[in-house]
Amino acid sequence: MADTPVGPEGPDGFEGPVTAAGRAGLSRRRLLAAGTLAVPLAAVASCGAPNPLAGPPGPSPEVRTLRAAIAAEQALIARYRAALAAHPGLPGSVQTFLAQHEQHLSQLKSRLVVPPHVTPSPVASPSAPASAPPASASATQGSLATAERSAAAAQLGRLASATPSLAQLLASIAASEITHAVALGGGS
Amino acid sequence: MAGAVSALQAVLSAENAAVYGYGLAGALLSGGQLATAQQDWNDHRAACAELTAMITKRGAKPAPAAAAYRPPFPVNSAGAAMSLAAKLEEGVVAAYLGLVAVDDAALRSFGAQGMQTAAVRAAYWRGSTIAFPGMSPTVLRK
Repeated sequence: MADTPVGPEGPDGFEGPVTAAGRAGLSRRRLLAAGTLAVPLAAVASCGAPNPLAGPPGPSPEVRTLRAAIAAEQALIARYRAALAAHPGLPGSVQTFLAQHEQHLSQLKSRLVVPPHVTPSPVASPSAPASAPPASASATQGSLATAERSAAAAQLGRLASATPSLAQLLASIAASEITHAVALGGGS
Repeated sequence: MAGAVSALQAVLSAENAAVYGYGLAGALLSGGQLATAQQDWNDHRAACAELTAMITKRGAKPAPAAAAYRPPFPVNSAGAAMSLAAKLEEGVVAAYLGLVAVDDAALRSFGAQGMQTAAVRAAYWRGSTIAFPGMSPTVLRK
């Protein structure tokens, strides 16, 4: 986990080891930048905030939630691309759904605010789809429907740790995913 | 919890508008579309009852349904009836989206589920899916 956007670690050691040099190298300016991003988000997520004197917090639950949503969206896009590469004869709607997922990803990424002077590390790239698409186009379509349903269910699991605004975006994406699943023939 | 009650009231009023609107739309539909509209009408009535109970349980008075609602365009053909159904469902999705912003995690989840059900109905009546059901384009970032 070297990809924390707001600071090297939190008071409770959320994130990996920090060297003394790394700590010393943290400029005051960067601390301030990290604070302005992280504090309001943390304040929304939990009213009984931890000790404010304990130092800069690690990535807020909000940032982790956003990163998880981005990784899930990237995995879904990879799955659609593999499906279309293996079965170019899939219905045109599959291409439409892929384009809508690309819109989801771009909205999610636009909310990942990286403070100035922090090197933006890439969001963990999704591992390749676990398996190649099924041999038949209709089974592939079914597997996309299943993937859409699991993606939507996972979004719902992220709502509680999101700010109101991010929760709304995630819920909207989940609703879009369910309409894809139904259109792909995934039943209900 | 004032935010929760007002969000619930907004959902109730969108559901009430849908109940009224499906009555208009149903008169112009036939066959499978009529059957779907009747099922949707029933689902919206059930949602109204549930929301009424949720609001009452929170010590508030559920906002009554209006006697009549003016459709946003003339509804005089099967095509217009389907457009009206799509429009009503979009309104319901947007109302449930408001619930997703409250603090109560159970209400957030309830709101997200309500969005999904209505988004599926909207996609059916519209004939296509959209990327951000319920979201106003103005809040989406360029």
